Order: sequence, then structure tokens, then C-alpha cells
Amino acid sequence: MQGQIVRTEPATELIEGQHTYETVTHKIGSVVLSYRHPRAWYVVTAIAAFFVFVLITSIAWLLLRGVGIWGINQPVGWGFAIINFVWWIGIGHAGTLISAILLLLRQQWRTSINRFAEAMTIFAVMCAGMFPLLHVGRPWVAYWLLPIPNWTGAWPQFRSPLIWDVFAVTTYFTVSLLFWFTGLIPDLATLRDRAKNRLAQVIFGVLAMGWRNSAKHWHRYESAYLLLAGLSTPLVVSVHSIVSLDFAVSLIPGWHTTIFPPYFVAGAIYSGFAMVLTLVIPIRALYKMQDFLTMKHLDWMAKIMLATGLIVFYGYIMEIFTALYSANQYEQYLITNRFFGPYAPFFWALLICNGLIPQVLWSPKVRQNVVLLFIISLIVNVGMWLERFVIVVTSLHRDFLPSSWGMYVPTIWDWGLYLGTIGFFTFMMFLFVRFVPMISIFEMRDLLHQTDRHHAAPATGAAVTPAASTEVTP
Amino acid sequence: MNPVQETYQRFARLSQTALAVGIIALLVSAAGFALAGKTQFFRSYHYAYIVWMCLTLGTFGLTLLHHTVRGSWGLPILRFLEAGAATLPLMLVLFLPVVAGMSELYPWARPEVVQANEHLQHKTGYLNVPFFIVRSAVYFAIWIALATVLRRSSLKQDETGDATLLQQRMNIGAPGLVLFVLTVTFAMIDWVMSLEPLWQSSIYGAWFIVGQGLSAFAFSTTVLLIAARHKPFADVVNPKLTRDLGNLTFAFVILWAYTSFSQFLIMWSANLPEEIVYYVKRNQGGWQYISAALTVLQFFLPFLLLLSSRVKRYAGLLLKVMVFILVMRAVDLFWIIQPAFGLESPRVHWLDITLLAGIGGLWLWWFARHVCAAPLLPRHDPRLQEAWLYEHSASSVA
Amino acid sequence: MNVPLHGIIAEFESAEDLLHAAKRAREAGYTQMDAYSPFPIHGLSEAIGFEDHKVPWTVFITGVIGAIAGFSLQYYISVVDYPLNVGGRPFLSWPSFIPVTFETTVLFASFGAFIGMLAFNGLPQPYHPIFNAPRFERASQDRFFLCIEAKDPLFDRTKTRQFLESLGARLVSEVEE
Repeated sequence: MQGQIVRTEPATELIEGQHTYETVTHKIGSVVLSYRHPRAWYVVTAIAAFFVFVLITSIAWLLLRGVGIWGINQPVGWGFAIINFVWWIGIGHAGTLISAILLLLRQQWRTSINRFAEAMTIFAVMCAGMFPLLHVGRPWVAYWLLPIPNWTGAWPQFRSPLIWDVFAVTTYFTVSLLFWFTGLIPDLATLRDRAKNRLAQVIFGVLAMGWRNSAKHWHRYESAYLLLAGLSTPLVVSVHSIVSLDFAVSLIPGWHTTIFPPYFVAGAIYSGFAMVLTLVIPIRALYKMQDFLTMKHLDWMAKIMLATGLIVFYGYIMEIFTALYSANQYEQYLITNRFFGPYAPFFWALLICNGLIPQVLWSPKVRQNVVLLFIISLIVNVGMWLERFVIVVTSLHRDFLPSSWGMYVPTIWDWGLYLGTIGFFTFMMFLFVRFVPMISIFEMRDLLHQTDRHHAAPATGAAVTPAASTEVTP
Repeated sequence: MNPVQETYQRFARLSQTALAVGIIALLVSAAGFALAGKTQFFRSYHYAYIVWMCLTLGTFGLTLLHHTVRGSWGLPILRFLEAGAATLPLMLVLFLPVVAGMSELYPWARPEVVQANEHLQHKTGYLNVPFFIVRSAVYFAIWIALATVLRRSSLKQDETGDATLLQQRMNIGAPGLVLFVLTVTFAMIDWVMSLEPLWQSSIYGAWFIVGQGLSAFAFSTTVLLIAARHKPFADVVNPKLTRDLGNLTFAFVILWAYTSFSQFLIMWSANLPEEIVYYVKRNQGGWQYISAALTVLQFFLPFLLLLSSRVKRYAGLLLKVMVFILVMRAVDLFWIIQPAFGLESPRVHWLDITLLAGIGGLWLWWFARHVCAAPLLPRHDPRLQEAWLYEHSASSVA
Repeated sequence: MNVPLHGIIAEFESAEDLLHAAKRAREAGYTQMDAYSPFPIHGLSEAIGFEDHKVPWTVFITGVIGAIAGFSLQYYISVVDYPLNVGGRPFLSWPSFIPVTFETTVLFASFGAFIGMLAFNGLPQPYHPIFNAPRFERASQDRFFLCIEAKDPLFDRTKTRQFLESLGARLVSEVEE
């Protein structure tokens, strides 16, 4: 009985091809250490750089003229700035999820995407942070948000979720950086030891801080890394929950509902995984990383997208049900307005993008089709942006009194800033791929070591007896 | 007698004792029906029923989760989870008194109350007696069908060793989980939230599902650790498993705190009269001490205890924590349900206790019988062997 | 030959060889040693007789400090120094203070983990004699090293060398201080 090991799927799929420690190190490390890069890298970086200029122009014009150049008005005081803020923060969350939660769940498939996903988190949070800072109107006094006794003698107001946001986003950014850098230290040491060029040796040497791969180092390192993962997991949940509280603690119909925190967190992970797929699929082709970013990885990410997408849809159902069940006329009107009001096309589009189309991911064939996965990931990105648009705009544009009703139309500067951040994000991601090992090298070596051991296990299977417990006796 | 048969004997004895306790407690409660009046009886019955139903649904939900994500943590407790889910037909029968007592329990089921309240009249489209019964029937039909199919498939695999059944259960598990979340959400809205028909919260379903998961982890770990001295559980209970189960319970403790606090903070900040009344009721007349106790004893204490790897390594300590969580779950539901009936200060009626014991006795009787009716571990599950193999290969290198 | 020695280092081909060698060295009575590997190896720190729980404790303590700091900051601002009536809420609006308290807890604890790990490891460290070992750059790539240090009471230039050679090392060499 015990000799027959029935495997439903081979365990080798996390690394494909024939690899040794040396080839893994070389394959990943050489991207950083060599000067030659695919032509596509230069093309994409150049296009992204153009949008960085668009971003700079939009910001400069905004600082000169004020937020009046945007489409915001009364009653829609929160336009693109908040929509994009929530969208970007959400995208960042998949990075932390992959690197922290999957580490705690001992999911080995995270290994080859975590570095990449963490970088994504950091750049996405940078993009996100720009929006509220610019939205305050006078970004040069944004430091008033921090609890420093400034010359006005005023303190921030801690009953407001907007202040919680300041703490949540800055903490999130800082902790993500620490987590990312901690993960990088051993790889920086590898690069230091492999670099032939003196300048590279010095730079990587300084950054590696004298890391020497000692067992004592690893012992504390693993403990610190695991603890950082344990801290990041509730942190990531808290960040998007607090973002949701920006809406939920208000009294606006469509915003004030208790499902918002978990529903926003699920939506964040959903859009974040969509963004990871959007980026990973082209980059793995560009740098021929198919051995490390295998179909198994894409399959898992697709499954998580499906699961979180279903939770988001559950959120829609609960929102609609509770509004109808409440017998509150404002709540009920809001639902009618979403389905049939002036912004109804956005709402229906969001239902199709987020709810309907991703259901094809139930099929394993679709999850194995790279092109389809790429298209679905783009659709989900759009859908999640539409979701934030619907939440922000439909709730605000019909105020309690019909005399205060209005419409919201974004201007070219809204679009300039939004597309500019997408350009900035892409620009930073491509710089990251160029200058930092995009896959954690030491973790890949560890994975290689473990899968080798796993291969060997069935051979000795016949002799295996269940490990008896010695320590556990009640 | 071989050691495994001895373990079966223990479960058989549990089943007999539980049945005896259950019948006696129910007989005493029946006397209470005459002594304390039917209103008190139905209120106590409803509370006791929901406590045990939350455990039932929790075990059922974890069965589905286990078949969906295929975590190795679920294998040693799978038979307990399945046996818990197998009590669903019993719980259907025990649901009948709730239906019989509807007009005592639910204000919206009393025509004179509805007539006097315009707000309630707007809700009659959803909150009416026939629709309530139809919905409950649909929930039970879905749950019983899913639980039966999964249990059969799992037992059949033990008999035949057919590994394709594993994939079959996975295919049922994921859509089953979707159905589970939706039906349980609406069941909890119908059975518990509508006790206060003018109040609503959209996180309610998620809040309850998390609480049920917590109950089920605490319960199945408790049973496993009590049985851990005996074969075959002694072979599978090791520090890695207790750490996993401890960590999963830990995660649910945090999720419970998270959902509870989200609901509270949003309502507290908005301070809308129709919403905040829920917390006003539960923070006066002595209920505030229960609120504080829940925060400290169902969150902070288990949180700090389960943070320690020592507690998770020693089964004796972990067992104490799990039993404690189970007790707190009953207190939590008391805090949720009893103020809804208008109980102004926390007083336990003796019927609460006898009915808790009565329904619990029948529940454990049914549970233990189902544990006895199958191999105690899903031995033919290839993953259990893989888990052993992994453990062995890991320790051989270490 | 007068250059003081840091220790004697042996290079191995695989993680299993290193683990085996470390266990043998412990059995032989050596206490002052360190192992070097391109990735963390399960059980290696136990094999060289090293255990340390300072990092988790640092995280716990910095986390508690963060929680206290975050809550007291809000208490001081909202109750003591700048009491402001916001929508009739009490000055001590503790439910509203929990999100920020949580964030400061995580922030402090994370710095505790990061700085604690570096500080206890003695990093940043500009110079360490182990880098004098030949081929040591492979420790961050694909080779596994065990170094028995000169401060070990049993350390003996020739005997220790012979011992390491007997463990099936690929290359054994002296490391200068």
C-alpha cells in the first residue's frame, strides 16, 4: 500500500528544464550583470518614459493652477484622484499577499514571483500616494497630516479615516520596503561575489553590508523574514480596510455599509493578481524565464483571481441585498440609480468585467492558455478600475436633495495624471527588471534543493512508516 | 482487542453517554416548557440550536474548504469534520421547533407587530412566514445533498482506493464552497439577524461564517487531541500538525476580531439611530461586561496564547486553549442572540443550559456514531501518505 | 607563517555533505565553528550548535512599544493637548484610535525585525576574515563551507585540518585573520 504513491500532478512543475545551483544563479543574475538587453526593453522603457513626462507636466500644471483643472465639482468632490488612489493601492496588495501570506502558508510556488510582486507593491504604492497628496490642493503643506506640532498649533484629527490612511499607507510603504530589502540582501551578496566590474562590486558590496551566508546569519535571517511576513499579512488587510473605511464610516448611501472592509481587501487582491499576470506574462517571454515562471504559477494565480473575484461578487450581492432589505429609500434609490441611472453603462461593464468574464477561469484549459490569461487579466484590471469609479461617482453625484445633483466628467488633466502614473509604474518596473534580480536567487536554489529531495523521496517510500509522535502527549 | 478497535469503543461509549444525557436534558426542558412558559422555552431553544448549528455548519464548511484547497492539515481531522456535517439531517429535524415557535421568536412573524410598524411593512416581501420556510428548506436541501455526496465519495475511496474520487471531490468542493457561503449568509440573516428586523449589516454573513470556522477548528482539534493518545491518531499527531491546526485557529481568531471590529467601528462612527441601537443594547445593563469579556477572552487571550510556538507544540496546552475558545463561542452567541429578545441584562435561564445540553447530547450522539461508521483516518487518501512521507524525508535530512 | 589564523575552512559539494560534516564536527567536540551555504539549510544552525531567539523577542517588545506609543500619541493629542468636539464623539474615541494604533504596532515591530536581525548578525560589517578564504565567493552561489575557528579550545592547525579532510571535503584551506 505504501509503496504506491499516486500523484495527481507532478511536483516538478515549479522549476522546469535541467538546472543546477550554478545555472539558476547565472540565468537570473546575468540579467542584472550583463549589458545586453532585449530590444523590447528599450522600446517599452522609452514609451514609459514619455508618459513619465506626461505625468510631470500634469503635476506641474496642477501645482500652477490648482485642482480646478480636474473634473471634480460639487457634489462630486472625489473624482479620479480617489478612484486611482484606491486602484493603485489595491494593485500593490497582491505583492504583499504573494510574498507574505503564501510564505506563511508554505506555498513554494511563490518563490519565483515574490521579488517581482514586491517590487510591484512598492511602485504601485508610490503611484497611489501621489493622488491624495495632490488632491489636498496644497501638497507643499501635506506634512500637516503628520502628528508634528506645527506652527499653527493644530494637531491631526484622529477620528477621521483620512488620517488613518496617512498612517496606513506610510506604514505599508515602509514595511514593504523593509521586507523587500531584507529579501534582497543574500542576492546582493551573490551579485557582489559574481560581479567582475569594480563599480558593481563596490555598489553591491555596500548594499550587501557584509552578508556572508553564515548559518548564524541565516538562522536570524529566516526568523526575521518570517516575522516580517507575519506582520505584513495583517498589515495588508488593514491597509485596504482603512481605505474602505474612508467610504464606510461616512453616511453616504452606497458607501456606508459594513461589508466594505473585507470586500475591498478581496478586490485589492483580485486586481493585484490581475496586474501581476499582466506584467509577468510578457516579461517571462521577453527574458525567457519560462523555466522559473511556469504554467503552474500562472495556473495558481488564475485560481486566486477566480477565488477573490467571487468574494468581490459576494460583496456586490450583499451590498444590493442589504440596500433592498433595509427598506431605506436612499439606499434603494442608489441601487436603482446604479442599475439604470446615467452611469449605468459603467456599472453593467463592471459586472461583466469583474463578475462574468473571469468565470471562464473555472476551466483548466483557459488557465493553461497564456494569451487568454493575459486578456482576462487586462479585463479584470479595467473592471476593478470601473468598480472604484462606480463607488465614488454614483454615490456622490446624486446628493440627498435633487437640487444638489450633478454629473462628473474627467478632464484631459485627470487622464494625463492617470496615464502618467501607469507610465511611471511601467518605467519603474522595467528599471527594476534591469537592475535588480527579478527572481529571488537564493530562494530558487533552496527550491531546487527541496525539489531534488522530493524526487528522491518516492524511491525510499517503501521503507517509510508514519512518523510517531514523541513530544505530543496530552 | 487491537488498539484501533479500542478507539472505536471509546467513540461508541461517547455516543451512548451523549444520547442518554441528551434525552434526559430534553425531558427536563420539556418540563420547562410548562414551568417557564413557551416564550422562554423557544428563546432558549433558539439560542441552543444556533450554537450547535454554527458548529455543524462550521464543520461542513471546513470539509468543503479541505476538499477545495487540499491542505494536509485537514486529513487527520477530516472524519470529524465529515461526521459533524453528517448531523445536518438531525439538525433539520431539530429545526422544526424553531419553525413552530416562529411567532414567539420573530417580531415580523406577528401580524399585530407588523401592522403597527410601517417600516416592517416594507420588509414583508422578504420577511414572511412561507418564504422563510421555503428558504430554510432550500438551504437544508443544498447542505444535506453536498455533505452526503462528499462523505460517500470519501468513504468509497477508503474502500476502493480509487484516486480519481479525490479529483471528483475537488470539483465539487470549489463550487460547493460558493454555494455554502451564499446559503449560510442568508440562513444567518433569516434565522438570527431578523430577530431584530429593523437592523441590518452587510458583513453579517461573513462574520458568522468566520465564527463557525473558528468553532469547527476548535472543536475538531479538541476531539483530535483528546484522541491523540490512541491509535490511529497517535501516528499522525505530531508537532507539525498541531502547529498547523494552532495557526489556522489563530487565523480564525484574528478574522473573527477583524469582522467584529469592522462592523462595530463602521456603525459606531456613523452613529445612525437604526444601526447603533444594536450596540447600545449590548453595552448597557451588564451586557457591557460581556462585550469586554468577548474582546479580551475571545480575541486577546487566544491571540497571545496561540502566538507562542510552545503552546502549539504541546498538545495538552493547545487542548486547553481550544476548549476555552469553544466555551467563548457559546458566550459570543449568547451576547448576539439574547439581547435581540429584549433581555436587558445578561441572565442565564436554566432552560438555556438544559437545552444546550439536550441538543448537544443528540448532536454528539449522532456525531460519534458517524465517526464509528467509517475508518478513523482517510487511510487511502494518497495525500495522507504523502504527508507522512514528507514528514519522514524532512526529518531524515534534519 | 606568523600570520594569525581565523580558522580552517573546508569546502563541500552539497548541503547534505555540509550538514553531515557539521554534525561530525560537533560530535568530535568542536564548539566554535560556522557554516556557510548559498541558501538556508534546515537544521544547519542546530548542527553547529547555534540557537537564538533574540529576533522574535525584539519584535514582540518593539511591537508592544509601538502599540503603546501609537495609542498614547492619539490620547495626548485628542484628550490632553487639543481636545476637539468632532460630531459629538467623546474625546477619548477609542474605537477610532485602533486603526492607527495597529499601524504603529506593525511599523515598530517591523523595524524591530529588520534592525534586530542586522544588529544581532553584526551587520553592516565592512571586513570579515572569512572572505580571505580561497573560493569563498562560491558560498553565495553553489558551494558549502564549514569553518572551524581558531578560538576553539580543540583547535590545532594540523589535527583540525586532518579532521576536516577526513570528512570528504573538496578543498581544505587555512583562513588568515
